[in-house]
Amino acid sequence: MKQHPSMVRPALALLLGLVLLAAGCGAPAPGAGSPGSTPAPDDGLHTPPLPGDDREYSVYSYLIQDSLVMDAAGALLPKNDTSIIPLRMVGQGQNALQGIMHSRYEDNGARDQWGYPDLTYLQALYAPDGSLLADWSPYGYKAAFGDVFIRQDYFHSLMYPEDYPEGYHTALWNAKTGQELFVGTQSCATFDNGSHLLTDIYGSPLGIVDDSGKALAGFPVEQTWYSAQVWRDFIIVCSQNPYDYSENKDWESSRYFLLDQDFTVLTPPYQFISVRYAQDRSLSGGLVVGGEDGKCSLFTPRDGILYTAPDGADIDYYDEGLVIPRWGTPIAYRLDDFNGSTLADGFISLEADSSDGQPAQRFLGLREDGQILLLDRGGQVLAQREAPDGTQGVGAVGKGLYFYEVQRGDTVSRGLLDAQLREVIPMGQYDYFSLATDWENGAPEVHDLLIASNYSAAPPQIDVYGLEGNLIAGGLSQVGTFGPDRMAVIQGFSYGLMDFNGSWIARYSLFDSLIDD
Amino acid sequence: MRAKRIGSLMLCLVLAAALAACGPQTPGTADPGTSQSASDPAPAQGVVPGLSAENFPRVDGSTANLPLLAKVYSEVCGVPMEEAETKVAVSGGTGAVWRNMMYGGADLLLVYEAPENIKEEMAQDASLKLDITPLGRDGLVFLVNAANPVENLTREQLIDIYTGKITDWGQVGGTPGPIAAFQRNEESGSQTLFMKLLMEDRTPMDPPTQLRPAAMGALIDGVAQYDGSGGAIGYSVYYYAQLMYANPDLKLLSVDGVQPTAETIGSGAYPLLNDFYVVIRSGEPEGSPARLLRDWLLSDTAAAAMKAEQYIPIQK
Repeated sequence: MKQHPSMVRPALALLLGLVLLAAGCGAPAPGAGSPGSTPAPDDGLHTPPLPGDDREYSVYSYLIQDSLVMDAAGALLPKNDTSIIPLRMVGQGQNALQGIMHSRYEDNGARDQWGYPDLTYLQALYAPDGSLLADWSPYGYKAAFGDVFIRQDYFHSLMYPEDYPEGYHTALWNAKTGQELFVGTQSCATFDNGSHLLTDIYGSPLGIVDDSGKALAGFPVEQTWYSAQVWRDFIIVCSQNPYDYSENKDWESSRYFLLDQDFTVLTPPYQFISVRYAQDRSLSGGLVVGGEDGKCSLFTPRDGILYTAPDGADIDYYDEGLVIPRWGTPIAYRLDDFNGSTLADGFISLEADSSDGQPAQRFLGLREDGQILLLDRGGQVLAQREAPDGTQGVGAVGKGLYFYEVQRGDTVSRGLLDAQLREVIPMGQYDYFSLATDWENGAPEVHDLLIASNYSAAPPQIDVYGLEGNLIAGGLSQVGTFGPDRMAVIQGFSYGLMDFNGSWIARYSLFDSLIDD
Repeated sequence: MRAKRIGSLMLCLVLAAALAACGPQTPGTADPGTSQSASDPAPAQGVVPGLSAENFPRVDGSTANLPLLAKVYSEVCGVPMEEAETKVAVSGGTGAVWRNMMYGGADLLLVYEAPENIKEEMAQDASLKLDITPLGRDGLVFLVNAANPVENLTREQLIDIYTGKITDWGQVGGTPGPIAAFQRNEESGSQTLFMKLLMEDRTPMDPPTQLRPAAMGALIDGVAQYDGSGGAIGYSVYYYAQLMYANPDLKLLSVDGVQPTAETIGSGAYPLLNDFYVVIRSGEPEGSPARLLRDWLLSDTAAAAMKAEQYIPIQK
């Protein structure tokens, strides 16, 4: 059997790599690695993985219609029908890994009315150290706390409560003792003080337990609430069942409340209570609430209403002292503080540079007069430049990089700016910028790598740059897992692992895994 | 083979590229796709007057033609193959590709014959007028484990295997043992060819799920590895099985005594032949990018480019 001709270039490729390395002129060009159907660990270009990097690297191929999975050394992992699903605690310590569920399906030959396989899904549960907690069974698992999980009749595609079949069983379950607790528990979330709220399939609070599983409150809760969320040491609830689709239901009367851990109502009814920023930004104890008067406000349990937005305005951003309200058509933005002072006004686009989850120190705005401004927290102009014709918005990429967006006809294009608003990448090449992010540990770890994409191209054109705008890897059609020093990519008819210099660590032909024809 | 062809000229280009690659590249100073080493020299520009990367039509095609799409882009746009590979894509299986043309997502196809259900869909669309021209030729080939002593099957024997009349290799001169006959999903190009060229109006037996893998690669792997017993048989198109997917554990069977090769397929000696096509809308105006490209694809220059990529052009 012969290989596809474009894959046959071993000697020259190796020579090129050696020439580049010997010349010491930076990164060897992609393609200098080891093309072919197997990694070449002995070719002198192979980069061993960092110690402890035992993750799987995957990249999705639209050609193959599946993910291609490698280990950190670039060795292909055998096609495995088992999905590995990390179970992480919800609420306080939400990134803590509590267990790992393996899931696979079996095709016993049965077919449904449309002729599709009637698959049986099986799950097994492991502790984070790899020890088996529960062998393969039809049960599914969700995270709770300690040795306690939620064990439930597992249905592969359940999305809404009305999908759950009669007799559906779910409960808190101690993996060490096998004891089942609090039947009906569908979800568990942990308060800042370490206790846990249990809710049913409608998000209705059942009660609160401690780490030993002892009931602290509720069981039952006197009033039926819905869609409960834990926020700090409080519970946000809704008065109406969002899954009740009965005719003539008065959706307008639905109201939200904040409860304490005795299920005591702490607030007046609000049209909404939003935690959209409160979970990951450092405003101490703030929520966005919608009052009966239609006004949008910032609220804390300790101080009450801190700030109220102008009539008809939504709150687009807030932190410990600043707010960006957004209102009107065309949309207008400004920068306010909690004292009601407007620090900067007249923007058709204004975004806080808060990509690190901390209160923004910089704000990028597009003013009505076509000027792009970079502001500090006092609203003072740090940098300014004229926006290209057709600029409709601006935003923060992170790590001191910003973008402007231009729409001409059906085409959207973005240009990249640095912290002095100097152009790093002009518009015309890309329609999206992002930073390479490692999600292995649940919390995002952002690398000093810029992913510049043109998704309107077919295939998508994706280039990876250093933060100084130096091209690292070009002509990619897909990027996947980013590890500490390597990434899973597809480039042309090849896929594999590249290091952060753009050199192949392992390279394979996509045709080796081809789906069709 | 290819390395020999490009020889010392290639080495010079590689060294030149290595030197040029020194130092960081700045966005906007080079096309990212060209920033990497070029292992193939870029063809001369201007192969097709009026056609370039800027107005290259939206081309889709069968997966087995993906390298051909890249070759065409490389020739027409004057870029190295390695860059051209980053500029082309197909939208799915052969059925999806024809649908892409139906719904306006492509201007030109390099594609195998449409599955019957897609033909029926297209026939219902009175506004859809397509100009379908044979461009190249491929063959439906049958694969068995390399350890299988059987080298040849007649078409009649193949039909009997896929209708369940022959179930044991001993019935066709092989080592006695059950035959595991793999098939493909109904919308795959190779299943379409299988039905058209071999089965015609006969209904193949319904295989168990494990013998109808969604992926061509899975079929080839399955045939190569099935039970380790060498008892499997499957099918594919010649280009895919011979050139795109290398697996030393399988071999191609001759059919009616003729081994599938580029020569026997090109000459028509191999019995299970099928053309692939270049397709544009009939209403494409003269001078439109799609029509310009179609006309070039039917030229001797394009035929030479196809051969260079080991496709078999229709002999005129």
